[in-house]
Amino acid sequence: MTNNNFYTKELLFYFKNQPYKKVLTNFDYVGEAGNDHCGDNIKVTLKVDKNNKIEDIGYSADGCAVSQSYMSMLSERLIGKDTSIIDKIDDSFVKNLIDIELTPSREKCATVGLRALKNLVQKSR
Amino acid sequence: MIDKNIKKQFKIFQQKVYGKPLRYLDNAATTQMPNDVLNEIFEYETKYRANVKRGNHYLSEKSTEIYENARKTVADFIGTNIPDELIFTSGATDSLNLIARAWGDKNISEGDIILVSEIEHHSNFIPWFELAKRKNAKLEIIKVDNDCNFLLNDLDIDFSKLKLVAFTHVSNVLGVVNNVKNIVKSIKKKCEPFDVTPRFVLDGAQSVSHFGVNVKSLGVDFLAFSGHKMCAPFGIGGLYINRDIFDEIGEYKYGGGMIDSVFLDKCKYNSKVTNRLEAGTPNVSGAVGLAAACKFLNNIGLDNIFDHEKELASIMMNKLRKINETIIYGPVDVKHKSGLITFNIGGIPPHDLATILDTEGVAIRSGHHCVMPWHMEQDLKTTARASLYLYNDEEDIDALISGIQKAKKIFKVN
Ligand SMILES: Cc1ncc(COP(=O)(O)O)c(C=O)c1O
Repeated sequence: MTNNNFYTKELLFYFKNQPYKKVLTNFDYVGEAGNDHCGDNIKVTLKVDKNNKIEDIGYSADGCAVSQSYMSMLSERLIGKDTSIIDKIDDSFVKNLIDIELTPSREKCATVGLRALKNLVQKSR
Repeated sequence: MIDKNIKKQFKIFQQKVYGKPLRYLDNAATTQMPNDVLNEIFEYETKYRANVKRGNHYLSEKSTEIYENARKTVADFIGTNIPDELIFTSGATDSLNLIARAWGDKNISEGDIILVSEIEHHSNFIPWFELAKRKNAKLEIIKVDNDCNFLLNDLDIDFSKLKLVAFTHVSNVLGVVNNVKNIVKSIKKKCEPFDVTPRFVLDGAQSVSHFGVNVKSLGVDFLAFSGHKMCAPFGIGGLYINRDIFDEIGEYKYGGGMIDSVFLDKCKYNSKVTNRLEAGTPNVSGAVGLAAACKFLNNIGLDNIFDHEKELASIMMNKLRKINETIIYGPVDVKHKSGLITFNIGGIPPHDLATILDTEGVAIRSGHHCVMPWHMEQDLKTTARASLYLYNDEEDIDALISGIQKAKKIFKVN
């Protein structure tokens, strides 16, 4: 078994193209999560409209290609949705975002973004 | 010169990973065990295994003798001919925690200063951080420059309050070999006007196995190290304590073997430091393995190991630097370094680089290497680290370099 077949074109596309890896100056929710083992750390902010629909996402990430690309994919899926969807998403949803087989240790990288989203708290005003 | 066939003495190198020869470049984390060491442990376990210092039957007496002989061998290896100055612990982390408890709790009081460098492994940082917190003492930090030089002249502290200085012999991130004697001398000099002499703790986890360390010539009071980083098993390590400060040592763990007498209302602890600090049944087979490793390393010759690592480090440095995207952390000149290089390849996160190298059979480390404060100060999240040992060869380095080329292709760098 080799374990690098997950560096697919698709994964690397999401790594190199991260439209939501940006700073939101105006946001409503903020959350953060890290993976001490590999040093991944993702901080995510959300901007919502008056109906709690996600209008925009901005995150900073400095970990590996896996954590960043999965955060990028997740962002794409969340735009325009109600924030309540975040409660419903679980690890297996994240793992199935693209069809690659991650090793258990790299699954932890893939789900850092989701954990940051699960840690979201309303921005203090 | 080290025997070109030395890898044959390590069974682990007979295997392939993902069908490729194992290229083990994570020696700063853990080294491999030679067959000699494994055989000695097997011999002990199958011929002499029994509890030490307790029974008076044949095996127990044999076992005690072997354990104390191991202490002699290990003490000798780090340069003391006083076996009682060598405490067996479970490793460097345990040794450092031992000092913080057995010495720290007894000697540090409110307002005292503990000094550590900013490049310490968490194991040589958190015990002092917590000790300072327990005692309302102050933890002060020695800054280092890009080449790992300690900026001692920038220290703006009250030296009259300085009680303890803890720093590493070799940085596990930058690989730089610190000039211990000079550091100790210049700190002592700053304390002189106040007539105080701080105690010095040296973290030898990355040094004792890579070049000859003579603790008596370094002027430190404590030296901590780990067996698994020097061809010995996990769960065994050592702590040197200078005999001159034995009366400053309290207790660490409580239990069997460390007492003189125990009554329901009072306990008296053994006055012999090796007994008092080694509560409970010790790791005898670990000690046997550690002593066997010391003999193994002595047979090869610490000078030979040092030269071999230096030569390979210089080759590895040159080859890494030929790759345009390489960023090297710490000095590029390997003169004052051990065989360890921390680097990044621009455009490839280190964690991914390590994963791709792994598929080529190349084992390196990525992350913050348990030195988070320094990485934060550098505004760096993580780095990749390749670290050499006596059994590595040029082919290992070539596999590393071609693995990096492969990673560059996958990540479409350049
Ligand atoms: C410089 C340094 N100090 C301390 C330690 C801790 O050693 P151990 O985990 O064996 O206790 C290490 C291990 O990585 C190290 O590199």
